[in-house]
Amino acid sequence: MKKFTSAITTAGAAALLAAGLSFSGATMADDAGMSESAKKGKEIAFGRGAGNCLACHQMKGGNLAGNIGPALIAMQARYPEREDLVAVLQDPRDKFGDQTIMPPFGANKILSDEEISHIVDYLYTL
Amino acid sequence: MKRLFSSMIAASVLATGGAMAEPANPSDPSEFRELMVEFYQERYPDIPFEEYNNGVYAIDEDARSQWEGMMIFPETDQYIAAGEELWNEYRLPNGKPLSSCLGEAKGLRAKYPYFNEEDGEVHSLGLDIINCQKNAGEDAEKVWDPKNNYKKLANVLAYLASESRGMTNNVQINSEGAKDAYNRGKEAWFRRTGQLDNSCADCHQYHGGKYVRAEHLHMNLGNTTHFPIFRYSKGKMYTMHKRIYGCVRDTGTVPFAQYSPYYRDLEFFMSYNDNELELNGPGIRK
Repeated sequence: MKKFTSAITTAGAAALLAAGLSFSGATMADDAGMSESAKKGKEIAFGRGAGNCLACHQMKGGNLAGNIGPALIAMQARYPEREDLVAVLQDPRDKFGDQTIMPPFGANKILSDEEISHIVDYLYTL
Repeated sequence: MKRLFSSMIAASVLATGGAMAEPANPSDPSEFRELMVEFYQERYPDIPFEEYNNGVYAIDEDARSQWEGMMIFPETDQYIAAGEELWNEYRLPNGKPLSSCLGEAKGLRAKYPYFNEEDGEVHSLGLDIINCQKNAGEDAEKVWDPKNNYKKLANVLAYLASESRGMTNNVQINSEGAKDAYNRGKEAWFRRTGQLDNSCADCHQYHGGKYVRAEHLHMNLGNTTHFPIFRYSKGKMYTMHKRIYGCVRDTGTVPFAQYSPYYRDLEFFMSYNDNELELNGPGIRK
């Protein structure tokens, strides 16, 4: 890390690096403190298979996220009740209306109840 | 559909001072097309209309410079050459070339898709080639249908696209039948289907131009002029119907067959909306 830092000459690049380091550092720390369930949830959320949340939502630590849905931040503050967040993943049409682009992950059996529960555990770490 | 109309309404409400209440869904194709064009003009006010046939490269400078690099030695050239050879050398069982059935190659693509008043159906160039062969009694396994001889079909379509380059897309709607076909295609465009419960419009209109992971979603305006396309990500040619089939399948919908009436109506709707744009196929996409 020291070697890397010394190679940086411009202030802009140094700032970028600092941001990058603290970012990846924070992610590692988050992962370390995460429950097993949340870790599984993160895997599904970042994976390109069934969950694929990153396709549309920005999430901390996720590279090249899409920008169709809102960034997933401060989830505890936005969804104080766990069941409300579960309900959005089960069938977002109930909360956002019939015209939402978000797929009904539970209602159309894209994800199981267990998988949704893992993802919700992960989302609450954001 | 409601959402497109409501954003259209938002625009017209602003214009008329809030007099309108019902979402606009004119059944007249030219009126609806006008709304579609306005929808994009509102979203990307700096993009001139004639740029839309370049897809997302109209709105993303970085991607455009990569794309222009791909065009220096375009991958499509080899497919055009193979298609030209096929077009010139292939003979129907009666010994005649395909031009005896379809007409000369120059400008042929620019006549499609069209609504045939006699059989009441939308005709796609690909399907007309297939039907020429079938009607002439070609052996089933030699017909260039998507299942048996997809590469030949795609190559010939690439050649025919190149023979209409620079011409203007000009899909005609001159009858009630054609109007109905357009409106059926419109319904298909807005219908939500499959496990993801998504419509074409969900991704390629409401969210057209946004990012899915690192890639832009294509916008529907200008999305028909350049087919067939060479896709770098897949390393092969895609006809419009193969692309639609794959896109629908990826939403977890059981797709109709390529060239089914459902997709031909959809093609008709999309192509008519692209009128006045320059034909620029075969295209290249990442």
